[in-house]
Amino acid sequence: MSEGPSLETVGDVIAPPSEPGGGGGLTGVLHVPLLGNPNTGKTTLFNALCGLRHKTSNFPGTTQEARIGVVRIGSESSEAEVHLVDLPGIYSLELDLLEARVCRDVLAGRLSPKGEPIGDPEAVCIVADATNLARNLVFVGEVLRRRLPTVVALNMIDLARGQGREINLRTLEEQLGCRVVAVSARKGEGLEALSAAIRTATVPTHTPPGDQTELEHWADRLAVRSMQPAGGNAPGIGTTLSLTDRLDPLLVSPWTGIPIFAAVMVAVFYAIFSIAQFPMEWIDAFFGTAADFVERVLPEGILRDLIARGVVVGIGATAVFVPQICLLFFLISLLEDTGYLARAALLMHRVLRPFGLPGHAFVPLLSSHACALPGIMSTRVIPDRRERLATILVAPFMTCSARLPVYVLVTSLLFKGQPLYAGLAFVGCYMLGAIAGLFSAFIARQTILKGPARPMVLELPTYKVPSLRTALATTIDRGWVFLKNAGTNILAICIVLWWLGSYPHVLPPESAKLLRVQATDLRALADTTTDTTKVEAQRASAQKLEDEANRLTAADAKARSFIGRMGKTVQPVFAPLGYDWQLTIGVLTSFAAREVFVSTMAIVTSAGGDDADVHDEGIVQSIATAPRDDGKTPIFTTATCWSVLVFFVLAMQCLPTLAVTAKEAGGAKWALLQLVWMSGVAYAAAFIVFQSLRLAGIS
Amino acid sequence: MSIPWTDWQFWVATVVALLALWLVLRNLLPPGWLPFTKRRGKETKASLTVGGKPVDRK
Repeated sequence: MSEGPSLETVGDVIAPPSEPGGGGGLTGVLHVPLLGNPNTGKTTLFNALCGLRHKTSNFPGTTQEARIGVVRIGSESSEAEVHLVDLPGIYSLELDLLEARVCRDVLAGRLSPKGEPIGDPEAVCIVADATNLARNLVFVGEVLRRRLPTVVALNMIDLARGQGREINLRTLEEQLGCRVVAVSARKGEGLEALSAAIRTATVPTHTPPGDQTELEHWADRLAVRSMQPAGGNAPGIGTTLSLTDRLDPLLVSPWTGIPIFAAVMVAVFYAIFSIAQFPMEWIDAFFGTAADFVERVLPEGILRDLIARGVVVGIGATAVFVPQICLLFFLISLLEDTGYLARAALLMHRVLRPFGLPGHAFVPLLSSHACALPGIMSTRVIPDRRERLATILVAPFMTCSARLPVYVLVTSLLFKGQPLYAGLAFVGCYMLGAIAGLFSAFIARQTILKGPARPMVLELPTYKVPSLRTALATTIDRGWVFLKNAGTNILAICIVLWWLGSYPHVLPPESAKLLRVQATDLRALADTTTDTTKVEAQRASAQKLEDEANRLTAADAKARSFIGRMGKTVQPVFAPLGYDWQLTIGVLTSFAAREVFVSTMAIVTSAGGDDADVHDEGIVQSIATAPRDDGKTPIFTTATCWSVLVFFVLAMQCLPTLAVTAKEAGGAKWALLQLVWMSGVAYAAAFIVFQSLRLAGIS
Repeated sequence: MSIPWTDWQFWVATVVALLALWLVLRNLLPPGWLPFTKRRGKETKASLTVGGKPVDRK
């Protein structure tokens, strides 16, 4: 345990602290961890103090995320630059959890976020919930025992006042032996006083009891004492039912809570898919224009193709999902801030428990419906390692945005002009993914991840109006992490796919050459014709022939490229599922990223260019009617469509997700297991579907 | 059917594609399996001391 801050050992220039409340205090760079129980408004306070001036990194050797914000306090002559480190919310420093270990090590000066120097913190800021003082004081007591310069930020003081709780700060300060500042991070109250207090923080004058039971009694006594206004009687706490007391019976009860929860989730998804589609279309159009621009500006050659079809398409493939992901994080952050998400996790605990997953898994699984990457990254909130691994393994079963273009394509092939059936098939895909995920979790928890279920201890915070500022800061932060981590992978995969699809170079097929000759003849004929109407018709026909020749050339080049050969080699494996070599190429490229399936199929079936748009009726029609090598049987028969749909619902076709799984789960073996298990399940299910339909005479 | 071996642009594109492949595989394979990826240092045991003196463990 550290014996106070070793000012000499820290590299920065530190002046000795002056008396609390004085105008001076520490100068230079101060490293101040911000810690507290979960749901005490710690992140809101961090955002209120630092705004957007923060960076996100990791604690070395852990997957624990660290946010570091910078706050400047004081005048130019005696300015202190406070590096505030937002530590994970924990209920006790003594817990056997990664989060608690990180907090312990930071307080002991053994650990710092990447890029920050290791050493004793100059001060500690504990965030305590003023509406739940007794329990928060237990944690405060644990930190005070570390004998570091400490300030207690009594957050949500406005809510406490609203509940009729008057806290005597003077009494609390005397009993704790350190500065206590009442703040409302949500409203921005008391922030200046808190900043000043951090700068003048001193080692507490009292040491709370070390025994846990005694510490709890100490906290209870202190809470009761400080709730008494000086010279007055205790306030009438609980004389009227608060909003939380009134809402909780409705929202936490399974009978009413689950339907309300379902309605909230439908609203969240509706908002995500309806609002995000506009920016997604703009981004898609922007990158399409950018690719065209590159092709126009740069001289013809391999590098132009690499930039236009590899780099620009790669960046576009990442950026197009950013609106959905940001919107998802924004809405989740708002829900979390209201206090509802904790109730939702409690409700889902009852649903997920039989499958061996905790209620904490609900948010990661929900996030995975936008993209499995942020979903897997958010499993860090799950305290139990086995439960966390099980959640990571099954998160990609949830239908992500990248699957949607495939669903749109296949359902429109299956149910042309029948939107109701297409919609039902869509819902069925979502349900199949979720059910497969739950049963896979059950199997994992009964076999490789067998272990006792950890009881879920969750504090239900009071309901409050969410902070837009916090939601925005979280959204920007999460969105950037997604772009940085997933974007790099997707871009790299697109470049590799481009290379495999571009080489070796092949001569145009005879059919394309013939069409070009015909087009040239038609143009020559048009030049000699005097009738204007005929000239236009001849030129239009020539252009059509030229386009057809280009499409045939592209399809032939793709078929004979490295990736095309791989398709033909691997095709026998997929033959029992009803796939020909062209469909096999589509499926193979989708193992890198699902979203490339439609554009690959468009190219392979000669339906259009790389930027093919699935909503374009012509392209869907072209893919629907594209024949196999026999020239008669369509690639997409009814049985094949169902087989493809089931395969894409269940298969692990996303290299970036595998990379993140390997990173978060702590080894490539977990990513390999995920790939083998999901793809095995997908193969078996697609085989059963295709063969059953074939035997039933539906083909 | 050919590979444009003599085209310098082909080599630039190939180097970029190899770098991209390395980036993808780096996250998938254990450290040390690929060139230029750090292998984690061997863990060593250290005795617990306070103020430079060994701690008596009961």
